[in-house]
Amino acid sequence: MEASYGAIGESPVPKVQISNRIRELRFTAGELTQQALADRVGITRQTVIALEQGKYYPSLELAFVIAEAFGVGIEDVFQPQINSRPSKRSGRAS
Amino acid sequence: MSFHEKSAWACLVGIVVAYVPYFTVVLRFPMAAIGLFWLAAIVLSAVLVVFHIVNAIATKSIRSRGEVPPLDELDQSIELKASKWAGLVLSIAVVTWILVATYSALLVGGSALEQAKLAGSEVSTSAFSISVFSAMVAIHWLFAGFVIANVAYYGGIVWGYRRIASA
Repeated sequence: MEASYGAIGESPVPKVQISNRIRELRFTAGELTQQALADRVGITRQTVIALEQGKYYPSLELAFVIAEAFGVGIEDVFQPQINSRPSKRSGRAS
Repeated sequence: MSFHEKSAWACLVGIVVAYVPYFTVVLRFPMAAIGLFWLAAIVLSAVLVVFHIVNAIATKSIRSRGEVPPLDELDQSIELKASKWAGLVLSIAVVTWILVATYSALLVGGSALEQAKLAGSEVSTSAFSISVFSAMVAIHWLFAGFVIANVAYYGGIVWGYRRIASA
């Protein structure tokens, strides 16, 4: 992947959009509620909601913990879509 | 709405309810500050105590666990951004205060020198003093900067949660 990063303030990291299957995995894991998942991974229910709606991207540590909670690999929960155009922002949603 | 968002709303409302009337009065009547300062502090404490009691009773997770939910990484991220804004606001307020105070001191000093020159007398150190009234006004503005920075902090937290909720 090759990109030019001329402008000041532009991050050299390409823009990444991350979709996830948390909602789907909750239902396949015995209709786990958002609160139950939140308790299991140590976050609040509001954060689970934000994650499911793609409004917040988790840290790498949290992503691993969520995948572990479902007993699957991280790539089974989170699917990155990497664009070659560099992002001006860090890895947070919206 | 999460516990931490509600808590930020309570702090924001408490600060506005306690300190808008406080500064409305003390910036006009600076010498009335001592009693009003404690009154504002009591009003703020009362708002926060009432909120936390009501919130503890109303919030299911607090009832079931008996403790306030800890901050997770999203909460911390929102607080970090709000802290940056509050720090910026506080820096601007303090630098502005220092510039205004310095300029005012130069004006007072220049005026004293000019009057002494016109009177043909020696400049006394007392000519450079400022009144207690002016000093109190200056102190109130500095304190106002601190309170505004707190409003920016809690406003930033509320904005962060609202942004996530409505994006």
